[in-house]
Amino acid sequence: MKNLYGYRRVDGKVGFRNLTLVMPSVACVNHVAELIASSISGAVAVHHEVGCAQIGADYQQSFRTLLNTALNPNVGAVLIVGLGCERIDPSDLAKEISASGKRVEFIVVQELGGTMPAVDAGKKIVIEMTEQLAKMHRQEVPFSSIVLGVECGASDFSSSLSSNPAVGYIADMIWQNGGRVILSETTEVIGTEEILAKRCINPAVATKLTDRIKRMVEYSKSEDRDEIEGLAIPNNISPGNVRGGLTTIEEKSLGAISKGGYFCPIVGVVDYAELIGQTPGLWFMDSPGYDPECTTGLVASGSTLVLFTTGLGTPLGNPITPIIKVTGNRLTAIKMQEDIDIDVSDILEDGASLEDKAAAMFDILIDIANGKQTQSEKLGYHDFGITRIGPRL
Amino acid sequence: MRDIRISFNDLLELSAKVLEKNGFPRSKSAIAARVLVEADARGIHSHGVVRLKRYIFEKNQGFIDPNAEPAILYETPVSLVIDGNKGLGQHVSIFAMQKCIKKAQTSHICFASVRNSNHFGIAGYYSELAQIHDMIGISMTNTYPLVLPTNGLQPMLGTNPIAVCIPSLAAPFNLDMATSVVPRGKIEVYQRSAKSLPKGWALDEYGKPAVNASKVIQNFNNHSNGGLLPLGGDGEMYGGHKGFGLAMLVDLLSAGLSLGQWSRETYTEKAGGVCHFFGAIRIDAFGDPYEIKAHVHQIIDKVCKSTKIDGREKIYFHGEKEMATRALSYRDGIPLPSELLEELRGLC
Repeated sequence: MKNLYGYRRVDGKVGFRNLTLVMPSVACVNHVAELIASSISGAVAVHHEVGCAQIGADYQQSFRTLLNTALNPNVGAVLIVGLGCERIDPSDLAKEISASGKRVEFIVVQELGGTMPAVDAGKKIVIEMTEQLAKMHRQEVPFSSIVLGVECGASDFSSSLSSNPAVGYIADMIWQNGGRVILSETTEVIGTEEILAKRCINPAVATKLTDRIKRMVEYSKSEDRDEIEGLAIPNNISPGNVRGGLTTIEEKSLGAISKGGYFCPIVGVVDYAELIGQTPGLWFMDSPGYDPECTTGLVASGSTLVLFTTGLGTPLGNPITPIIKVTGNRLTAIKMQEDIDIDVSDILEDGASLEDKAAAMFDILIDIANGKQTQSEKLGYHDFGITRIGPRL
Repeated sequence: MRDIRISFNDLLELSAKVLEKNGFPRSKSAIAARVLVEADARGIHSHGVVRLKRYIFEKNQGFIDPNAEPAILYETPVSLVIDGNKGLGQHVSIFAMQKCIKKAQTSHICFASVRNSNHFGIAGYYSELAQIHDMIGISMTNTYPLVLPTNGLQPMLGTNPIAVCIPSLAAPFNLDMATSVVPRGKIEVYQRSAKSLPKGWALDEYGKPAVNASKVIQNFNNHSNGGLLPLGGDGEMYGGHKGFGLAMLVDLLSAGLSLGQWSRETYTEKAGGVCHFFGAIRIDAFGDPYEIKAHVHQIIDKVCKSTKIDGREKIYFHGEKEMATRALSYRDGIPLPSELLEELRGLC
């Protein structure tokens, strides 16, 4: 097995990227954050639509997502860019981030006198931060330091039959080495409650999990169904899924849960973007199946790597965590090769074994953890979307 | 003398203030302070903030023009010749290295030869700048003449350091070495403690092994014969001619290509005239950058994990000790003599 090299942070967590994050505390200053990060090697800005005109659980979820994204160990230092009148106070965010020992500063655009003074001030801080981070180098770290998010999108028949089960082998391997895996997409585990409940380490975890699934079932039944060629399809399946051969949610879900391995126990259930605990094993994050929002949640929950299976092909990436895309569909592997990192189509096409493909996939995963760029990193994908609960004010 | 710890950022602020209060513009003071503090943070105190006084002296003597801006004299897509115009060495060098990196981003490689500059601090600071861009960085400089050519009696060459930084998957290979056996600073340490010098470091004015450190320093100051031995020592027995060759190489690349002053001609009349040489080479000019960095790391790792001699602590690779010291300094503060800090505060 290859050695794993990562960046050890002050709080002991291990990251596989060494980024300076420029984070707007409100959508109004997204562009300022982008201008600051755009010309600095090693800096990255996130673009989001929250930060103000939010209340209650919706506000808390947005705050938590921004905070926990900054706490992800792939991030070495953080600059918060505030506007000055928003609900999410940049100094509150900064205070909570600095409690982790991570370097953090904030600037406020209204106080600095507009875009250009803020960009100048921000650049100065971020250049200094990236220079400091550049002096930090990878060191050998144990496999137990991996927090792997698993996710599927644009699924088809091949996802269920090849790429998801192969990722499941990886999930088991990570757990056997003391690491953690996060499965999510509550929409896409509907119908597998009994199987998942049996894998939970205790009844409390099982009850929490099935309650969350039940809630999602109620919500997805609450609106009218779409129709394809005159037939109503379940709300939790996309038209593409149906065209790709997944006609019932059970079919889709049985494939989707295989990403979470076969043996590793489910050790806890967390809310969207909530930090997972320290116990090795499989964690479940209650989230929608919508890819950009789900991956954003996985990263905020602590994923430092994400294995993303896709049948029909999707180019998605994340600004902070490498999203490694796997397909089991040969046509997709050929048509969308610049978006696909791992092709496991020979499982269905040529009879290659799942174990062999999983072992090869693990090697690539380690290479990417060690610094090899993913296809979406090469192409500059920075997808970031925060799930909303309530209407805006 | 008692060492006290000062935080990295406090020392940075203090050093920049010292220069600013003594007639250097703010932006250039910050750059020079940065390079000096980096040296102290790595434990290379001979090239750290202790130099500030010297810079002020050299400014007052007219060697350094604090307001000078470097100018490009000649350029192609892969090369530059820069005139430092007597500016602060650090300012000129950052300018040159950044230009190299910028050109290498489009042309894959770029080298710059720089003349008419001044003392630039640690060579390794500049070679490291390329590393963040996945480039190999190269940095060299000539210096005040203290080193004897093999079989020669007159100091003709500087301690002419060579720094090369090669990106790796983990910490980079970060060579930063003088081409003499020891630097001047080491002789000064022996002078202060009145110890006799080991054979093989320096020769006296008759070409015999020097044992008296004070006498060697006196010879330096009087421009007398005798001086430091090149890497490998006296004669050819232990490869002294190879160290001499490396020192020559530095002078030819820095002063030769820029038509500048070579070591022996530096610090004459009213100009330091120091010459540098910089280079940046994109590693993806040779293939997949990740594969290359992984392979570089594997080579370093295998060398360091090879069998060591009984009783020796470990096999270090180049830059490893300095980076470990830097990490501690950044966390716990940089240890410096309290007298030095007092002196610096007095200069503000």
